[in-house]
Amino acid sequence: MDKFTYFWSLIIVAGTIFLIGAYKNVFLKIYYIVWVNRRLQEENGAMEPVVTIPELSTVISEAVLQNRIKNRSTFLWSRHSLIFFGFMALFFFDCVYTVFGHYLHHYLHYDYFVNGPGRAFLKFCMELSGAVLLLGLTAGLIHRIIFAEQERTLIDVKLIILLWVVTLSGFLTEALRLANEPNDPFIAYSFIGGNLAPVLQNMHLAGSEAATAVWIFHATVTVAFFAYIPFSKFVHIIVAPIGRSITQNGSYGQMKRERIAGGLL
Amino acid sequence: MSQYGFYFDKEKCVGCRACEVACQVWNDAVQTVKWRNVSCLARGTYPELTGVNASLACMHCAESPCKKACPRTAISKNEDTGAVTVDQSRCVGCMLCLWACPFGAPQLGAKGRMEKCTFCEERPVGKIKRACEEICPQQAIVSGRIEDLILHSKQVAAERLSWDKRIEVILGHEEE
Repeated sequence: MDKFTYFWSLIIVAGTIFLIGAYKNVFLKIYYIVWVNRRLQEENGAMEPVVTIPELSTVISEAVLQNRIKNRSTFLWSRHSLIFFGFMALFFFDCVYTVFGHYLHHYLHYDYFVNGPGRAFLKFCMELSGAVLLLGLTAGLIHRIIFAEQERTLIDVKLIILLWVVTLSGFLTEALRLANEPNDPFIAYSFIGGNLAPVLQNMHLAGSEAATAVWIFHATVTVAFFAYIPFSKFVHIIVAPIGRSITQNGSYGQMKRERIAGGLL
Repeated sequence: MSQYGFYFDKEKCVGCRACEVACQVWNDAVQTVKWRNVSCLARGTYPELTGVNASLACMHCAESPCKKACPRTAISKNEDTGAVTVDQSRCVGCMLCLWACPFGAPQLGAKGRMEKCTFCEERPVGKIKRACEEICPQQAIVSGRIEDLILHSKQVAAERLSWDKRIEVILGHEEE
């Protein structure tokens, strides 16, 4: 079987699992909450809105700047920011590369992201965001292992290891590709994979079979990671920005308590 | 399964916040935000001034919306007491439980996980009073089985009707 056929088969399976999880653990939950709050309004005359429109400042503070984590610990905030921005940027550039580099090239012969400067830009950005992600994950993993007692309830080490393996195998995949394509004109922009390639060559680990095996491994763990998101603590990627923005940093609870006290007047 | 809960008497509460303090002191090891909140509201101007103090914490609902709303099944209900508690090791601090809770009880703690009243789970239920209940100088907070609390509320209402003849009190209790 062609490796891309394998990859897209995996995507279909993992995408289905992801959608089932997102439906069960995100969509149904939010639908239920809206229903409960609407019932409270209809039956008890609750005054607070069913869904508050998040203030932009709350969204920026909670979801982008993550000030609440910063208030807890600068180190925790630094490593979480590295993981957050690294992951988001890598995901975004990967999507751009898939759409423009593969599909538009394949169907419309759009070459900017395949042979043009766009490829250099994407390669550099993907390497950089991957490095940022790997740095954050490594810091988190080391901290988690050293301070195991204090952090046991906060960080799931299995999840960090999974994402760490996904990221590291990405760099290995790129390095092995470059080791087999040493004349790639954009090799300089893959500043980690490009430097890792000669090392792997010297260690005689850079055969095309190894490259294919690592590519398949990377594709499998990446797809497994995405399928696992709604069923694991990674679900916070989706629900935390929604919940924290709508409850307005907790003031939604204050609104409810004041409504109850007001009802007793 | 017995369902335990709190009865709160707004007529007795003087807003001293002793319940808030007792809750924080008893649960000091695990509590980083207030699990019990006293809201003191006043409306109108003197001499037509009305005020109320409401001491609110998790009501440990029989059908807990927070439990159903949690995407990580981090919220569970104790089979013996009906107490609703958060498993910090599963919680991701998304605050969906706060959005679902009719009383706005769950709070985001300092560790980035949701916290709420545990019904003083270390205190044997039915033998020792809850911390907030024990400290209340006015006995405005009473905990117990829901059936007992309903009976207690009727007794309190009947007792009050014997001396408080205000029309809203009579009507209020009639409505109940």
